[in-house]
Amino acid sequence: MVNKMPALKPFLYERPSSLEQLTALLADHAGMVPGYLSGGTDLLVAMRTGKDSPELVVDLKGLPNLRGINRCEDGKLWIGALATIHSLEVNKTIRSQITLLFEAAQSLGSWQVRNRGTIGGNLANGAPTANTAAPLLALDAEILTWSPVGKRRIPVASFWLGARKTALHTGEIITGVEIPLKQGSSSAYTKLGPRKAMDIAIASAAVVLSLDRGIIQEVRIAMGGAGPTPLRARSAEAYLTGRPALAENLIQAGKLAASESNPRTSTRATREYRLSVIPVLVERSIRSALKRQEGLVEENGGEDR
Amino acid sequence: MKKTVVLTVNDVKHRETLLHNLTLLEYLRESLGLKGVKEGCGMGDCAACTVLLDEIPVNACLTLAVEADGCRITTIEGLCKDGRMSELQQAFIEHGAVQCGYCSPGMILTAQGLLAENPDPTEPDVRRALEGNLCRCTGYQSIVAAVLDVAGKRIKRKGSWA
Repeated sequence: MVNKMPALKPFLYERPSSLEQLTALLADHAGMVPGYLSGGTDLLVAMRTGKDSPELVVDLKGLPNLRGINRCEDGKLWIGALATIHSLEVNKTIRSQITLLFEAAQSLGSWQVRNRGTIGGNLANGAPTANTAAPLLALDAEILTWSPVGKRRIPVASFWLGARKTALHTGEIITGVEIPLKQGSSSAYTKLGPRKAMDIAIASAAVVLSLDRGIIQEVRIAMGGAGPTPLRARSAEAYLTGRPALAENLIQAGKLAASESNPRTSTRATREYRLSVIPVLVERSIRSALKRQEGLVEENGGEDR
Repeated sequence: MKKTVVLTVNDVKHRETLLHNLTLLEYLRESLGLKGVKEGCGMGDCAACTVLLDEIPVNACLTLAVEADGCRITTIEGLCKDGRMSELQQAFIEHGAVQCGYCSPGMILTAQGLLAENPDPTEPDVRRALEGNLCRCTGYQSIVAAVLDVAGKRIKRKGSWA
C-alpha cells in the first residue's frame, strides 16, 4: 500500500439507457463538459494522471443500438461505437476483407485493453496514432454521430481537426462507423513501436489498394504519427496510381509520403526518427497489400494458401 | 456521490452502495479484502490487477466499481474450490512459474480467460494473450509452459474419453 495510486477525483456517474435520457441529462447539466465513458481505457488513465477531470462521467454502455458489427444492404460494414477492439479482431468479415483493420485491432494495447476499449473511444480520443484511425482514413470510412440537435455523418477525412481535436461537438457522441467493402482490394497496416504489445505507435501506415495485371489501380495511403492528425499521403497515392507495382515505385511512394508528413518530436520519438521510418512503414504496408492481391487471385480459382 | 449496485464476486452476491469514483480494484481489495487483486501501475499497463468480468479478463484499475453493476467478477480467490487449487494454479506451482508472485493472479486469470475462449491454444496464442501481463522476475518461459501444460492435459484427457 506504500505506493498506492491516489483515488480518482470525485465525479457524478450517470448511465443513461436511452438517447432521450441522455438528452435530458445533458440539459440538466448544461455548462458541464461530460466525460464520455465507454471502455475507460483512455478516460480513466487521463483522469488518473490528471489530464482530464470531468465532473460528470456519462457511461455510454447502457445506450441501445451502439453494439455489434453488421453488413448493410448497400455493401457497407457498420461497426457500432461500443464494439470492443477485441470484437474487431475476431470478426470474420474484418479478418478476411478488411485486413488492415484486423491488424490494427490486433496490435492495440493488451488483451485486457482490447476487451474493454471500443472503436468509438479510440476515435473520439483523437490521438493521431490511434490504431483504428489510419486504417479508417485509408478505407474512406464515415463516422456516424448523435447529439441532441441531430445526427451527422462525418467523412473520416474531415474528422480530425488538430492534435487531439476532433469534429465532435461538446455532448456529441459517435454511434458507429461505416466502411465501404470493395471487391478486389487488399490492405495492410504496419505499426512501429518499441514493443509489439502495449505500446502506442511511433508511426504507422495503412494502405488499401487494387491491382490489375501488375498495374496499381486505386490506392489510398494513410499515416499515423506523421502529423498532428492522421494524414493521407495524397502525392504518394497519385504517384502510384497507374504505375506498375515495382520496387522502385514503392520506394518513391515512401519518400513522397515522408515529404507530406510533418511529425513532431515527442517522448516516443524525434521528428527526424519518424521522418526516416515513415517511408519504410509505407513501403512495407504497400508490399503486404500487394502480396495479398496474389491471395485474392488464388481465392478465385488458385490453390488454397 | 453514491450508487447502489449488485456485484457477484466469486459466486457471492453483494448489494452495495458505492462511491462513483471507486475503482473495481479499490472495491475488491479494500471493501472485500480480496488482496489477490494486485495494483501495479494503476493505469492499465501491467495487468497485475486483471480480474474476470463476466468471464473476460479486464484491468480492474480501469473499471469503475459502479460500471460492473449486474456483472460476475472472478478474482484469484475464486479459483480455489473446496480448498483445492485450480489446474492452472497447480500448474504454475509445478512449473516454478511463480517467483515474487505479484503478477501471478493476473497471469493465471488471463490464462483462465484464454482457455475459456480457446481451449486448444498454440504457444503464440498463449504469448499473445499474456502480452500485456508484466512479470518483473522474468519468469515468462515457465508461465507459458504452465498454461500450455494445462491446455495439453485437458486435450489429452478429452482424447482418451473419445
